[in-house]
Amino acid sequence: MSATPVAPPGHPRAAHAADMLIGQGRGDLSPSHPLLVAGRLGRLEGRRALTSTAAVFVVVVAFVAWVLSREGASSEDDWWFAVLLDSMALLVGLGALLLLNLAATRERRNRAGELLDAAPGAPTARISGVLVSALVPATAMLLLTIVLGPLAALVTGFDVGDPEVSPLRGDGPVGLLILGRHAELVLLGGTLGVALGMWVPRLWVAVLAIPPLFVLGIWTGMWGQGGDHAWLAPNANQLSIRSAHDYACEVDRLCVQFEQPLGQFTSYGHLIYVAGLCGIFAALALLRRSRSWRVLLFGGLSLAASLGMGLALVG
Amino acid sequence: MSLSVHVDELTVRLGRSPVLSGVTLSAGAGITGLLGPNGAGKTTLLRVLATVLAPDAGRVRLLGRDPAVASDRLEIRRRLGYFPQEPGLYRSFTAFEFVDYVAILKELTDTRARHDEVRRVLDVVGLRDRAHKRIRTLSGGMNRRVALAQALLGDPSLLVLDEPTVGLDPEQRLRFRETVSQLGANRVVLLSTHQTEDVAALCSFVHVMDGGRIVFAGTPKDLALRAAGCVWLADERHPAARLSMRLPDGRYRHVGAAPADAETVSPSVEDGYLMLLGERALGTGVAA
Repeated sequence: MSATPVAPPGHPRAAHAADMLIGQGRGDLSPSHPLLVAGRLGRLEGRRALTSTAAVFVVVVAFVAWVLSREGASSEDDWWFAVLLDSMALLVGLGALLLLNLAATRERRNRAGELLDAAPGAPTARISGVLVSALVPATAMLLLTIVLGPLAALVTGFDVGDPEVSPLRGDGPVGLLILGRHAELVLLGGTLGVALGMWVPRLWVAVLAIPPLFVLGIWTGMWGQGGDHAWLAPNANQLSIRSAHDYACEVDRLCVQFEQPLGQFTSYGHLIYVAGLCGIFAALALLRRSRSWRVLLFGGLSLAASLGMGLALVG
Repeated sequence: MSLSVHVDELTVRLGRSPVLSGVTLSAGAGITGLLGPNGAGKTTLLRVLATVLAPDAGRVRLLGRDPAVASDRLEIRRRLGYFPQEPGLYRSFTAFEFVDYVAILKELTDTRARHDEVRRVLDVVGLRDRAHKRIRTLSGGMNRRVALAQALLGDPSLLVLDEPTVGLDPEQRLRFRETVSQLGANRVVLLSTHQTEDVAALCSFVHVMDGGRIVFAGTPKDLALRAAGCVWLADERHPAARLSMRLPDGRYRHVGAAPADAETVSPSVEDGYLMLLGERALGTGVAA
């Protein structure tokens, strides 16, 4: 079916085509576990998400906005920084929501269900693949955040904040959670995007969810910078630019500062809470194609983890 | 696993209307063609055979297994290649990515072996040089080649092809015939097509469907013989002929009840199909 002429029977190229058709027989291949299938799909989907124009756009815009925010930097404008930085973090989360929503609805948009349903990989494996794919951009965000602070300091000429509060200095989960703020948002936004994609018929309906989430994110972000309920905010941990007089930087200079409103216990609690939320969204997505006891158990455990941790932390 | 397909008294309803009524069919290794006018139930039958549609009644055995049983269905799907009538492809993927995606769903999880297999099937359909083009930038014919490539993944024992030659140019169709003719040697291939030439060239057996039933089962030669003595040449158009076609030499080729003194010629599969289905075949064109 290429531009080359059709080979008549007996022609060497016809024989070559026949050899190619023999290929790798199914008899040589052992069945793979569904989780392995989901993992491989996740890797493929994650790679696509990471290299998509939208993802690159979100990261570039977020970084440029962050660097440019120094222009208005002064102590009285701090709250603007907070809003701007939270917006950038949310932009990452919302970008993940949209990207994974598009991935989850791709099968429906392209009417590919019939073709894919004839394959041994179950529909839940396809949904799981998209869910698992969120780990790829989340990991990328974690790595990006690790280099972002020193890079921003280099670009802006700011001091890096008090080295004693650096998350790279071995605070264990506390430090990792500070760096993992954007990764958290990618996981939450991504899994929510998949859940919306499975249950909401059109993308524009999912888009309607964005403004309230945005406002809620800003609010919980501000709220999450302190107080008893900081663990509730997905973006409770901060990588921000603050004026020197508030923090341990050189006087009259700005510094890149990692903030951590959570303690050791609340960090673990926050981690379980966020993982539970992701699990709830994932179970909601899977329930679209499967009511199996495994999915119900997974959803139930996720719900229990989130609620239980919430009650423990509030108590 | 036996290389056979058996369907017994199959019934599928859409709402209350039956789309398939008591269809009985058997096919072994080789290429079995499926012809019939639009709405005859061919696609519904192939969807049942591709395990994506459950019948309302009747028994189905595919490769010696029962698709109604979940474990059997999984085993069948492991040895099935399916080309649906409207193959939805992921248009934002490249041809390689999409076939790779389906290969993962077909449980080819070892990356190196899978990529080799993807390259192999893209080679078979002649798309290797376009493997990294996005599907939305490929022509309709190339899109169908991508769909055929994914169906060939894993060397399936049962290949269900629903009108795969639609949109292919003559050369592509010839290449398709070359490819499929080799596939039929060691597997069951069920082929629904609009092209009676494809049936004549490829199929060892053909079923004709009409109104949700099988109305003919036999070899393409048997089907052609349905029009034996009913195809003739004449200098003038004959008013009693079902179909008259003016040939390049100015004479007319007629199909229908031939007059006693007619100069009859050998019928084609198309003629036999026309005689079998009569006005229904003409009403939709000679279509599968």
